[in-house]
Amino acid sequence: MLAQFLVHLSFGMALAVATGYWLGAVRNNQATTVTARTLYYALVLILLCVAAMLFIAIATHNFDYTYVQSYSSRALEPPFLYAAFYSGQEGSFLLWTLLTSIVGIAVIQYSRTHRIEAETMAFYSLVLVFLTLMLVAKNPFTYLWESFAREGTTREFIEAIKGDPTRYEGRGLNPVLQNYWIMIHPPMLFTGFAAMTAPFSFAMAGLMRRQYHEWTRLAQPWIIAAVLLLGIGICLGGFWAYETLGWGGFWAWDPVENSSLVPWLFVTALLHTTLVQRRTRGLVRTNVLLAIAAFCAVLYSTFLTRSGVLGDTSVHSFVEPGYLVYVLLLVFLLGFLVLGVGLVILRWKDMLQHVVRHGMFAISSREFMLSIGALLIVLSAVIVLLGTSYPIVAELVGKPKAAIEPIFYNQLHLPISILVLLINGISLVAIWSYTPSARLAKGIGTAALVALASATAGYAYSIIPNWQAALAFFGAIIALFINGQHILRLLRNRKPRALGAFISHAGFAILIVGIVQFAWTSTTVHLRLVEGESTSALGYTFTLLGKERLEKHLPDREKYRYVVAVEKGGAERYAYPIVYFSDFNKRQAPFLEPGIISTLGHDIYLAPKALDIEERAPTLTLTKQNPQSIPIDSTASIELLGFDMSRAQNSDIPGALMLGAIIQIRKDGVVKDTTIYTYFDGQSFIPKRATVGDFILELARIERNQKHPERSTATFRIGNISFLISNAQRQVLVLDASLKPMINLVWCGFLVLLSGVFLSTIRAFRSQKNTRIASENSDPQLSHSSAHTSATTESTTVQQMPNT
Amino acid sequence: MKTRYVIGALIIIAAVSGSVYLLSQSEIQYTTIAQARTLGRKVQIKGRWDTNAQTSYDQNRNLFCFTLIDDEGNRILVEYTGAKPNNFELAHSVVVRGRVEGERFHASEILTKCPSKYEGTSPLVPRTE
Repeated sequence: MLAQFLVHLSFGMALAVATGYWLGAVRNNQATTVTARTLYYALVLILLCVAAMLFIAIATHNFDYTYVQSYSSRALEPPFLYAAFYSGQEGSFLLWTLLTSIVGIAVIQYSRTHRIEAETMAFYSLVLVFLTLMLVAKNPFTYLWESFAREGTTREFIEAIKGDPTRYEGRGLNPVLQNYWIMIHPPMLFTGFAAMTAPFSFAMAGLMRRQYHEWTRLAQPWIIAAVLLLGIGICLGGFWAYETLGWGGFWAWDPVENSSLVPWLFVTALLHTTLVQRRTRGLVRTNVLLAIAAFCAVLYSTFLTRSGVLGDTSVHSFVEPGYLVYVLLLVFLLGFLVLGVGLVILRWKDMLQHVVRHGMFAISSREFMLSIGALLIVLSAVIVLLGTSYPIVAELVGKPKAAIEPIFYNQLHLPISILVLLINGISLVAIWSYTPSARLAKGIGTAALVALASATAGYAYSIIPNWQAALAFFGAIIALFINGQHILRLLRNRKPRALGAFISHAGFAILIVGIVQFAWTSTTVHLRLVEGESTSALGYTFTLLGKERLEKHLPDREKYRYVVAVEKGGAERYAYPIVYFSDFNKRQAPFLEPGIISTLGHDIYLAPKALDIEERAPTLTLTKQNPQSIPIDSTASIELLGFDMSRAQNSDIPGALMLGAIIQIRKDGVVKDTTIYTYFDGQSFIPKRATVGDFILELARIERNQKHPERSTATFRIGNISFLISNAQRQVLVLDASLKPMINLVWCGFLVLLSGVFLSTIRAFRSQKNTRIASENSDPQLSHSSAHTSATTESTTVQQMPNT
Repeated sequence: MKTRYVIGALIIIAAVSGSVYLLSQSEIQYTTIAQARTLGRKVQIKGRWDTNAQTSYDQNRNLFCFTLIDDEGNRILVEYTGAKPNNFELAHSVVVRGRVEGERFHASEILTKCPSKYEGTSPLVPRTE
């Protein structure tokens, strides 16, 4: 009861905070702002309490709550027990709200020192109003008797079964989610979402104050932080998919993945265009619109993935959460879109007067190149957005409902990535305002030659699979070379703090090479590994050595680690694909995790598909009218009566002949006639297992003799149930084995890219701190100009670099 | 002077026309079994699997077969190159992607939707015996 009340109270408090800040902003009333700030801290406190109560409810297995009952169980152990906190919709909204409110504390401190708190927080707290409203609608503390009142669940009923642990039990956490990735991936992603609120709030505050340039400086550290946090979240998701979900890749263009990528792309574009504005005072409207787009993309993604509108297209199977949430999310999205765009329209003419850019944006200038680069990134975002929303768009324009295939994204992103790489290279050679062609040619010339030589060589020696990949490689080498030059110069000049941008560009170049190589050179074969037998494929010898049970102490699961020896040239390594059965799905189907052997050049990726047991059942070859006793049971006999070729052309399996042998089995005076079938695909027989009385038979082979039909033979494998249970069985693991070259380049690209952004984040916050100290010692007017000087010094260093 | 806008516009036009062209190429319609038979291109059908008909998995061919019933009540035998998806037995609805070839539906993808994960049917609901 208290918890439910606190959730409602958080909404009320958010409303009060927003009202306070709005009044403070509109009336320029400092006292109201101070009150709003106090209320804000109270709001954070309430949300912390709510979160703590959910934690406690989960930890103490309070299954009165539908949420706790749906996502945890007694058997669930920490840390996964705590991950249940955000494994469902209600909890993940709570996490998002909580993180947004905590990030808000930092935004308050920051905006306060820059004297724009009321305006910034007016918008920021409005976001919290909507988030807390979502919590009210999707309350994690809804009781079972409230959720299932219609089904007849009453409070008395729940109270009555409370003492019975078999009935008062939770459904548990989906085993797919039970690995360490869930501890970091969702919190990271939601921190990223929370960070996205800050640039939006600064942009809106700028509009409100008619300070169309100042906000880009203020927002910069937050923009970079959002790029970093969301970027980490996305990469972790990709690694999770590859490493444990067994997708075989790191990116599947799944709607849920896409919807975190789109905001990231927008905010990355924004990072570059604000850089242009700070230098040239151009792109004023573009930047405000991009800030709105980036934030609304977060809301739109949430709408797409949480409202159930994409129900049929996502692997992350979401079932509709209810009409109310659908409407709320839509209102949430449209509300902020209208608010943002409305404010832009209101200030449109005013903004025009602030655009100063004589002599700027020449085609050879750095600002033009940066703008084109940003345009490409925005196009990429729009393409992903369009592809993901296509099912809805098609429905809206009255076409039959449809989804689109990943090829759409892949084919469009290849040219975009190549162009981005090239433009990145050129923009770093170019200087602001205008670059003489000689300088441009000199700067790019060497890089282009190196790139051309290495791409040609790679293609000639078939390291690069095709010309598209060669183009991507060409672009990547240009970007790597030019960024590398900058990195070396900065290191020589002892300015390691400025390295961030160049490192992340280099990371992006590495990433693209990795992705292209990975996509075009991965090979997969289907293998059926029988315990103790060796199979050759992909240049390796695979041997299934056996399986061992894991996590024996957990009664809710039966988890096995299969041991596969992978040998090449005398060197043997082991892969451990995992197969487990869980009470979660009543052990009806196994959960599968790949086994991966990583080497520097490539991964050997074994994705389990199915399990089987093969018996070492004895075989028996029969000719017609020649009864024989059955090896495992001498009291029984079997006789071949003839063959059934009537279904040869009418097979269950297309392209394979269906051949039958008519047999008679006698045991204890009981006679049974039956036909056993096998399929022949031109090379081998695929027996169809049949049960006759106690026996299990497979027709392993037929040899027809046209001249002497009486000499035709049929070979059977014969076992029985007890024989199957005895230890004469061998494990069979069916899997997809793939060679994944250059996957390490992909990870390396991610890592380098994000470390670069990390360096930039630190630098951005530090330089803001310095300007803040400067501004505290002077009046705000001066702080503005001091920021200017810092920006100028920064750019002169960049300009000087090519000369050194 | 205006060259920069021309360049920007050209990039946008190229991207838009590329998108429109590729959209039509990679579009997969959501449809029914009856329509899929006549369309002959890659489509997506939502339905459920026929629990009365047999499902089979042929390990040597890596071929999983089951019978799909769509929302109109039509049936078709689905062949999927790959193992039976996780949670298949529990899925209350199945989405298949692929095309009709002859009498069978060759699926390249199977998506399953499981009630146990996200939908509210509580085991704590009183039993009706």
